[in-house]
Amino acid sequence: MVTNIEKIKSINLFSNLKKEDMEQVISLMETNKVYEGEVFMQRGEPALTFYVVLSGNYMIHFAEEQSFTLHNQGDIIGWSSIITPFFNTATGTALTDGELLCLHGKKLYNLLKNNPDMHYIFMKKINKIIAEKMAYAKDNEKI
Amino acid sequence: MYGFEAINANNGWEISFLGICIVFTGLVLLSLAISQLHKILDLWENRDSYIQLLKDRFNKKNIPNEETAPDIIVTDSTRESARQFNILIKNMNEKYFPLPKLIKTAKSMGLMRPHFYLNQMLQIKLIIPDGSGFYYWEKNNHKKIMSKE
Repeated sequence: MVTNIEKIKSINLFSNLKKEDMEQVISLMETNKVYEGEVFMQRGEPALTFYVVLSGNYMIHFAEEQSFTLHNQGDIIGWSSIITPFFNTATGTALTDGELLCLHGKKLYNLLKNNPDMHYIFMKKINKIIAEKMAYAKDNEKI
Repeated sequence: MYGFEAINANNGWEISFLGICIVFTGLVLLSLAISQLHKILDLWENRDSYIQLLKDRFNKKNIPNEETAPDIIVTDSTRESARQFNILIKNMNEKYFPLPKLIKTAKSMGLMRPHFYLNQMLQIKLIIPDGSGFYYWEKNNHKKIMSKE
């Protein structure tokens, strides 16, 4: 159950949504606590949930053992849940205790599918977040 | 006075050239405007987002997301973990190593709370991403942290 609406509205991903769209997205949300070392998302399994980081630190790792870590509020995990073929391409592990905002992937996908304006804003934000992550990774390249 | 003589006498060639320049400049400007029309339309259609973006930039609000982790205080246990991770990484014999393998090795060697301390190593920049999904041990930071003992 979502407890802090204002905190959610302040997250970059949701900041430009219209009031009525925001209400629809909030209706799909629940917050879940995760614990140090917990694997909350498994590679190869159906991607059922789209996660937004509220607190905590996370490691996302792929089959080839490549990985990246997430430490910021508003970071997103599990975008395979809204992109075909809806299977997790990575495993998610909590490095510390934390809190994740969980959105039901299928319901979010249907909501976006039926609302092109919101779909556009949402995907643009997701692209921006991914681009920022890639730019950050580039900044930290081998010296 | 008729023909070329009249043209020459009344700056006809210069005026014609100027006319051609004006017309061609107009055409070039028009074609540029048409070629960029999609950007202008995008700006108009998404004016609310752009205004918000400008406001955020102006207020310096929107740049990084809020860090969820507080600043790490380097304690004796952090230094001890750094020592242990340093040994593990040396034994892995890979300059650029994968994090899952490091955690697996740490678990198998019986390190306490490997996820928690791995996060600390990342936060104090002892373990640094190489930009391609692998990580390396930052020796200089290790020396600095150990020298503060």
